[in-house]
Amino acid sequence: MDHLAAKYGLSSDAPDLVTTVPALGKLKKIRPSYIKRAESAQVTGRRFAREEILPRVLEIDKECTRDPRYFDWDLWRKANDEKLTVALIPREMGGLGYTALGATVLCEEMTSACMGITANILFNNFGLLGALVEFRTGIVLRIIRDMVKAQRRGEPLFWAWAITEPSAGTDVEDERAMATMRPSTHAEKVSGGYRINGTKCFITNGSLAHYVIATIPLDRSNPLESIATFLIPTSSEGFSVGKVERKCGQKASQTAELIFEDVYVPEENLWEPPGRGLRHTREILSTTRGFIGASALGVARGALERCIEYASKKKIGNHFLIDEDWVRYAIADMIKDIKTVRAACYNFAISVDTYHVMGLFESLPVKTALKMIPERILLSEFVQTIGGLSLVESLAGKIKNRMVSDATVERFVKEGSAVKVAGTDLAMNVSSRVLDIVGLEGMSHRYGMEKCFRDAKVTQIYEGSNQACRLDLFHQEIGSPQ
Amino acid sequence: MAVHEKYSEIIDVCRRFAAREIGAAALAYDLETDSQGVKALWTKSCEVGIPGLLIPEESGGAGQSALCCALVLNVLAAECAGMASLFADHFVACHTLIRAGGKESERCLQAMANPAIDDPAIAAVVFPSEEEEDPVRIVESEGKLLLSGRTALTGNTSLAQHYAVFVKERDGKITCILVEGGTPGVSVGEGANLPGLKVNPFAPVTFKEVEIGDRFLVTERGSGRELMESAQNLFFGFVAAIAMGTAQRAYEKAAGYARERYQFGTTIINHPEIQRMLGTMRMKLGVGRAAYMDVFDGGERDAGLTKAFCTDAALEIAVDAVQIHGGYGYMHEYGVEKIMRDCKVLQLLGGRNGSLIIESIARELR
Repeated sequence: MDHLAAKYGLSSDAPDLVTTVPALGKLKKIRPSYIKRAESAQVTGRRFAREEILPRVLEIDKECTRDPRYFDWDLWRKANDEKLTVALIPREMGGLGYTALGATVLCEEMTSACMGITANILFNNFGLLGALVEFRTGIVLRIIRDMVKAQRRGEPLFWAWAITEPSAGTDVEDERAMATMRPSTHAEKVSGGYRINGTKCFITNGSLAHYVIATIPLDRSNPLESIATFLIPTSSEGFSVGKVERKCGQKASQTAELIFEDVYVPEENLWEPPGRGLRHTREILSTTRGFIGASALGVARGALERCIEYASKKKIGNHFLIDEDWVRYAIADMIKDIKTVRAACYNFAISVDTYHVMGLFESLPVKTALKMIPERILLSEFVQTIGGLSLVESLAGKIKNRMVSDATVERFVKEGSAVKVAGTDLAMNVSSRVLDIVGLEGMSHRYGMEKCFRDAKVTQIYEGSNQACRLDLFHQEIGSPQ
Repeated sequence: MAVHEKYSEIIDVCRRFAAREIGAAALAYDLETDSQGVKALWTKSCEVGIPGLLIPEESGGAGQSALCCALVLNVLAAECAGMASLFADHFVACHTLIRAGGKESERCLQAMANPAIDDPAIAAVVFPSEEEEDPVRIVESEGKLLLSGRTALTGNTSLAQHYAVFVKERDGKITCILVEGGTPGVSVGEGANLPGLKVNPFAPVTFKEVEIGDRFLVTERGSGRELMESAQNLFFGFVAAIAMGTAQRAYEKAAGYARERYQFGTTIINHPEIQRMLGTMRMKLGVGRAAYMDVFDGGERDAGLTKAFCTDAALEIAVDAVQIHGGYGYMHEYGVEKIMRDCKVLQLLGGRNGSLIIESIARELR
């Protein structure tokens, strides 16, 4: 029996969003523009993955093995030219206007080629998500303006979220754990602002960042009541990057240690007051965990699609590898898991668009403003000043808080945790199983499958370890112990 | 275990050697393989007699059993599964030559037991593969026997001076040939760049009309199947021993880290979920160890199935060890993710576990 290389997933040009999750077809009839935008995200992501990422992915992995600080700026600029670096910003303001569904689909397509490279390009959008948590209109408008301007100049503007500390991973993300946390960082109130000391570790994009959003306690002995969120420009005196880690996988994405030595941060850069820092972290996690699940789903897909292609061409004696019975059962099983998790990821994304922060873009005041006001004014300092007026900020805050209540955040931490565990366990299982099929030769670096395996493992660890996610899932679904 | 005590002295010596010499180099060689450094390590290992362990005393070796070799591989693998895999390939080649006998075999065995300081005699073994477009064959040309074809990925390649090559002939019969590394027509292909066992130079070997001559036929032509099967089974047993050795180290690292790491108001070893993970590791290690030792104990245990079980278990253990270490586990300097990558390659050595499991039943039906 002869097999043609399956025109499947990454190896096919045709968008298949509605065919892979048929319920989206029904939704398309009700809300055509919503689904069409996600379809366009899929086309964009898949084309970029095929034409730009795939030809470079193995070389970049090798370069980063030699030097963890290697960064492919050419590839990043190509992504930036296509506005992928500002994908979540509304089109009316110079972005691509992707919804959470669009961003999820985009993540999945790009991570199926390489999750590390995707992190360099897309995860930066989360800087915007960080600002949306506050929804202080002045800050949001300023960040959007800065991101769009940098994109147009072709210059990088990187954001990093600094949560993890050397002695606290799960402890910085969970209320029960934070009560007993041993912080490595500390902020002290000084005249006009704060002075920050300490170390954060394993920070994605930390070595490239222009701004770091960090949660830091004012009282080390009582972090839960005193943890605050700061915006820290990396040009600040006393800030430095420690080591850039040598990792198992996702090597294209830099993971760095950040060192704060008497870093002064002015009052206006305090994003969440003492005691509210955990709430900020939780709100971030309530959306990002879902995106990590979808990204890991992409890793699983990438591994399986490479495996199908390899097994279709690999001859063993008088048959092809893919003709072996056990291989077919295994592949069918993995397709089943990928289909199931994909539906869960899209369901989560649609929920974020409908009930969570991304719904703000669909709210009447935002929608009307975007429709009525021309882009040059939306991006002007004037609008930013108006947005910064306390009357406007408090009104916007009210709208946002009605939409994204504390209960919403915890509900989405729960749903996001489920998707994150499902997607990342899937990535690890599929990328490992695929190697069991393709054998020793298929495990060579040049086929890209072993890289999927190396890339997958960390997804079970970061953005809240899968143990922490399971605890969140249990506590939000069943209840907390006394 | 009584059977173990017999070898406790040798194993202790090898354990100390491994901790001192291999442990220090393992992470550096994982990043960048240095074949001169590996050869120097090999030469040092001669001081404690590892390369000649299986070789009979009359040929200058230690004349130890295969079980003793497996137990030594187990302790070497605790420091680096890749280094252990070099010795495993070598032992299997030694076994082949010992069993085959003959003058040429004897010459090689003596060289391997007492190697030259600057260029140690390392052996490799090649098994036939169904996956190559140009499988290795013996052809006759103008009255000469020639070896031609390309092997599947083979261990020890560029380090090896002697290859024990099992050839599947067109009629399905097996012949074993001794090939010297430097012989004209023998070339090592591009390295595979596998995710683990980095120190072992896995590559295809090409034989281009390599003249064999009668004296290099270590088995009579076509009569090598039984020898090949015993060599394969030995290899499976060794891989299982290596898997358990490296997984044991992953467990120890995870348990040690769990005793130090503070989270949720206590060291994490106090969390039942961490205890469950560690306990599961211990369960798999206990069963796997008993199983691989049984392979060498004259038992009826299927070596291929044992290799499948032990390597699968080892990967699961290593993956959980990384998980317990959190972010630190993913970083090279902690040496845990290396164990995970090594275990992934161990699973595929000597064949796919999925195929081995099916084959264990299918061959009874033939």
